[in-house]
Amino acid sequence: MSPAWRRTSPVAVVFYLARAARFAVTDGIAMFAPAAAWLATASGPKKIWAIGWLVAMAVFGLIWAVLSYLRFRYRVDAKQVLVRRGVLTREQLNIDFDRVQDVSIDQPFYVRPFGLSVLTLDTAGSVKSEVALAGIRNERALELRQDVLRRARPAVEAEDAGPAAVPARQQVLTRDLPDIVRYGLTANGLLWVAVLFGVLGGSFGDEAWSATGRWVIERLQLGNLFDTGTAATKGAIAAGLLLGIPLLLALFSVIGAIWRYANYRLEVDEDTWYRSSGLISRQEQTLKRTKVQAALWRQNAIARLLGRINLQLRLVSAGVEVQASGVPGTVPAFLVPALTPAELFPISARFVPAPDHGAPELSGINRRYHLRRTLMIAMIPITCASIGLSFVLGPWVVLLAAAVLAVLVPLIRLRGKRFGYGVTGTTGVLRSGLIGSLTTVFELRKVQRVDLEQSPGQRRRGLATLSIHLASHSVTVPYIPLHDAQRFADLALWRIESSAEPWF
Amino acid sequence: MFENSQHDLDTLPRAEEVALNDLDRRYRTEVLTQSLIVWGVIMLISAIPVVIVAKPEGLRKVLIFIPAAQALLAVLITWLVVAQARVKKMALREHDIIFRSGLWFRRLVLLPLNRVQHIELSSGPLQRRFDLASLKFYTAGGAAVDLKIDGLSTEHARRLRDHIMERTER
Repeated sequence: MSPAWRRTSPVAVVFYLARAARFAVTDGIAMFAPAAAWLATASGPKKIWAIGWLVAMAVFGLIWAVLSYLRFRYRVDAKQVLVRRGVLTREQLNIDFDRVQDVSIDQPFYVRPFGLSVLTLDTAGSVKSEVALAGIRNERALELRQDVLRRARPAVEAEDAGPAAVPARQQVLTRDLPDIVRYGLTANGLLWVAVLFGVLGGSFGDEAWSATGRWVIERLQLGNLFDTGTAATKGAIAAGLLLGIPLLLALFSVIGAIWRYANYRLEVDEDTWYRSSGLISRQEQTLKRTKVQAALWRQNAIARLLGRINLQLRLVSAGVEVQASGVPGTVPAFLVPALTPAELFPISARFVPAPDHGAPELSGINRRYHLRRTLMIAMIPITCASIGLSFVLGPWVVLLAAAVLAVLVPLIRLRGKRFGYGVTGTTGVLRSGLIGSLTTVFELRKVQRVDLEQSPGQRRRGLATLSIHLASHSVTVPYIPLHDAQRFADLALWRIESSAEPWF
Repeated sequence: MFENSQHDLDTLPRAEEVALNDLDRRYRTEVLTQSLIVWGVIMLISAIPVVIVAKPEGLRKVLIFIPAAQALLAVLITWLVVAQARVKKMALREHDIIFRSGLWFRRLVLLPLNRVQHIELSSGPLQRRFDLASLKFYTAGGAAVDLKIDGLSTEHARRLRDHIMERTER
């Protein structure tokens, strides 16, 4: 007899509401911002309309959350989890235990007091096939995760893993608050570009800034706030905003990191890894070692300054090209934050075999890269454009272009020097970067496709661009000797085709 | 850089030494026909103003240049696409597919058969007239097609698909 369809706890309504609110903030901010601005400036009857609109949205969200809860049913049998859900269109999902990529148990603060958890199952399929069982009892969640993991494991091991077998988890790593703050500072490289611009911009502080200031003040409708100031003070305020906003963002990044990764603990039981962390909402993410497609060693400029590396373990991406930053909506990468080199290599080697004492030695790319890129990207277009513009706008354009080139050319050189490729044992290593670096370490047998590309110039010089396509993401290294590229490809193909092990 | 695998490297089968086969010869004709049809339609459309405008005579003379320039472009582009079709080559090894394309910018795709998730066989109206078909190969991760081979005879495409599916099932 098959087990009955179950419903989750009514607390799930809060979960759906929170999810809707989060969606509204992250994805719908562009939609809501004009409305909010309108609300702030509106008066009289308009204000009533605006408030009415907000209330209507909130009521709609609440109804939606209640319906989501009422329509959600799940059933667990010997081999799969079945889910029926959907408010407008109803769907039934069958999730086989052995297709599950990642199981995580969250305890958001609003379900914690009830002794409940949120269990999330990620499969290799699309984003839509991700299922959250919101509001099930803690013990039930742990039990279900055990079931899923045990059945996802090869059958041979299942024999000795009786129901009495208590998971013997070993603690591998913990992170304390300073580590997490470091992670917060290094999590997003773009942030610091913004800060840098703010600092550089602040030091100009002349006519250009007062113009920018006027523009910003007009846009933000702050006019009535700074009515008395001159253009110069307005400019100073704008510069302050430009500097302050990125710093505020950095602060948010740190707070976000603490919120999510405080009390970080990494544990392992055979080949199953557990990450638990969170300041108020505890989150436990589970990962099977065999499902890891690649390990990413991420060290941006700030991380390099701090001597730390963030390790990201990548799974099969859910049908969306994952960018370096990690697009929201895809399976979240398993993160081990702010590692020192001495910590990184042994831990990384436990996921992807590689020497555990240091970074593997990599070969650099050909120097033609610098020349080509310099000519293609910087020299020719900028020089032509600036000479053209100098007739219209004046000779200072050429000077400006020279300044831009003076910055760009060394950057291209730096980027060229960061590229690297190599093989160590059965593992491939590819690196790119600018000031920091991004190293992808992957088992050659997990490669999905290899491309070799050659431009006419590369053909003449015996060079090629190598692209490795993994199930998690793709990596490209340009301008490497054709011979090396071909050997890399041949070696990868041999590993892929001679390996009998499943790749995920 | 290479630990321990030096020996393997030298004895490994080399992808660049494989003799690649041309695609079906009808593919070139198909590409040629397609290009001519598309450009024919474009030129017809831009010829309409020439016919409609009777006066002034000067404007008409200017307008005639548009289809004329297009004809020149059509010849150039048609020649290019046919040349591109000619250089496309492929080979099926026991464990992988090798596909080469590109006139100036060369591209070699190496696709291991045991990583193929699914295959799509399609043929448009023009392709059907020439008894041709396209094969699209998908691997895991990323929604984009990993390899698309146009210009296989329908018979060949079917056999290739069945052969690969049989291999990937094992």
